[in-house]
Amino acid sequence: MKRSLSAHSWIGLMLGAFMYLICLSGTIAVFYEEIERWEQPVAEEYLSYDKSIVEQSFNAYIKTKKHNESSEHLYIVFPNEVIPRLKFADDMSGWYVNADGKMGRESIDDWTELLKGLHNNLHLPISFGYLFVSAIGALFCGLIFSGFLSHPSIFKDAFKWRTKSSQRINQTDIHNRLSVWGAPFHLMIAITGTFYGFILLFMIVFSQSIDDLDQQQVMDQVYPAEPKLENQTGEIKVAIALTEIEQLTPDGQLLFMIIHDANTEQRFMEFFVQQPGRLIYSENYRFDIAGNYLGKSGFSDGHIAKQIAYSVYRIHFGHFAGYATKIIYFVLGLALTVISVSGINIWLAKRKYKDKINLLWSAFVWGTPIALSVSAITQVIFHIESINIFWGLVVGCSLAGLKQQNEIIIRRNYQLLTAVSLFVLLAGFSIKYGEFSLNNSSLTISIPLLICAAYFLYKGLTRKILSTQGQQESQEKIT
Amino acid sequence: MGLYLSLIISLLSVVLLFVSWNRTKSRFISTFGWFFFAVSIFIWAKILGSEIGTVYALNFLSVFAWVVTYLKTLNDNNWQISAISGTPVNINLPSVSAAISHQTLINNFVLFILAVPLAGVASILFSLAAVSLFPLTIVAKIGISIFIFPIIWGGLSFWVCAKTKMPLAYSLVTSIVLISSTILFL
Repeated sequence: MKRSLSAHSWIGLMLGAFMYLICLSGTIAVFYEEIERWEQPVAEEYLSYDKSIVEQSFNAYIKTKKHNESSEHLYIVFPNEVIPRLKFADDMSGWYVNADGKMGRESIDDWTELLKGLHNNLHLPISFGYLFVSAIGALFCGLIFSGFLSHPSIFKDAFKWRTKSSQRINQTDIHNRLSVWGAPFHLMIAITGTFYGFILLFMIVFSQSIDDLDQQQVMDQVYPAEPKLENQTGEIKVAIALTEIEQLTPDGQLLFMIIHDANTEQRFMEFFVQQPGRLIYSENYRFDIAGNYLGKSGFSDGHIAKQIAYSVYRIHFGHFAGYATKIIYFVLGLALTVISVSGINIWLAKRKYKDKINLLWSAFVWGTPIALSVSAITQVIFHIESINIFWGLVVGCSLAGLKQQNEIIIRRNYQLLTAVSLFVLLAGFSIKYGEFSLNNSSLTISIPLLICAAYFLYKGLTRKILSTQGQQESQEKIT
Repeated sequence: MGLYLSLIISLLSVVLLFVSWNRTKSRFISTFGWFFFAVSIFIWAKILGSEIGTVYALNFLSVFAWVVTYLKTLNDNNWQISAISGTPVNINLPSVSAAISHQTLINNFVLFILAVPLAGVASILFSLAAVSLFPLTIVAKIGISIFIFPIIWGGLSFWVCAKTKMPLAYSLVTSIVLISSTILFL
């Protein structure tokens, strides 16, 4: 048991800070669709659309200079309950489309991308970053095993939480209760999180081990090969394809359409349609440019392993069965964030001394929300590229913590700063977007932000900082 | 109606587990608790489909258990004065912990290499080699290997960290790499 605990501490210390960033950003990113909608509140919103208007408008968009001609993909994102907007996009940028088919506002989702980038690859170069974050997912499995094995009284303590005991016991109880009961969710998140970074590597290594199949042939077994087409020129017949899809999958929820190889004569359309009651991301239907049906990908009824692999996204991000799932995932994700922090707190509390690591950790934990909210101000209000601002603030806040007297002062000051920055963000948002800051798409995010700001303000203002004398008195009372 | 029923059954299962833990320590009641949890999976699956229903049943077990744990703390008055408010202020901070020696740093670096990159490579090769021994389709082989791989890597890292004899751990991980590579590439 002692060795298990030692292994648990070792792996936990190695991953703690990364886990915190990944879990915190992942928790917020559960609502990335709502945040994306909030970032551009001025766009026209509607749920139903005329297929022929979409077709005309999309073909007009292709002819304009609003898209990058070298882009390999073009997209139509269809309106749904979460983002009731029609969007045309290429690999670099996108535009919302009004109900009458005219081009509307430019799509703005830079802070959403910052948040997703932090969760997916910690803003490292994409291929390495995905591998790095996925490896943390795999090692998280090790933390789950070692946590269980180093916890002999798992049933005896099943509901125990000694809130008024010492800090170490309090933190240990929080860590263990959240970990044990949340274990099914944690294991699910760890395994599905590992999938993204390693699937390509697995297919490459596997293809090397088979003599008569090359890498592309192995990939084609998992993700269907692209159709071989020629002379795909002329207008894109989106309306014909949409009518066909309604017959193929009457209950399906249309997500988006991609034109692959958009800058070549081999281009084709692929429609992603969510299937009701299923965890698979979508079933995909392919059409040539004239709207002739080419076949589907078989994610809904193909090999069971293929179905499971294609279910990873929704399981990981909680994008299924509506808004209730997102709220549950938010709660579970927040719990995982608390576990990441409390694990390190326990290790710090077990030490016989305090040093600058205590201050640095506390400043890092409470400085990250400041970095997120200030980067939201610079990105959403002023449209300044904010990844460097975010990391600069994380490092700056952490180092500034070393100048503080103790962790409680750091926590109080940083909570107040987070509250102030959130209020500034909301004020700036209201000034920038005026009446649009009060529409549904804005309030869905602004109200929770206001609640967060009020919470941090309350916690910051009510936290009592005892003097050394007061602390000594309370120590005496305990003894 | 079905939704409320499944929520109630999920809550009931946690409450029974709590009652068993808190008062009676009865195996009979805790068995009933787990039984109702199994029933909740079935009911959730009936309402939302087997895939989504199972996820919901597991997640509600976690959330309800945390709620019950929190509610229990509201009734607990048997603890002494809070020590949290007495967290030291104005403590004398040494520059950085002097406890970290060069030898400790080297040992931890060696352990890191073994537990993270080496154990990772061993896990990838082992999971692919293991499934290649079974008569499965390519999709199934890749699908199964990528889902067992994080469990193997996590387990191996944990074992390596828990092992006091480093040479034994190195030998085992190296053996896994060699044997798996032989199965896969020769």
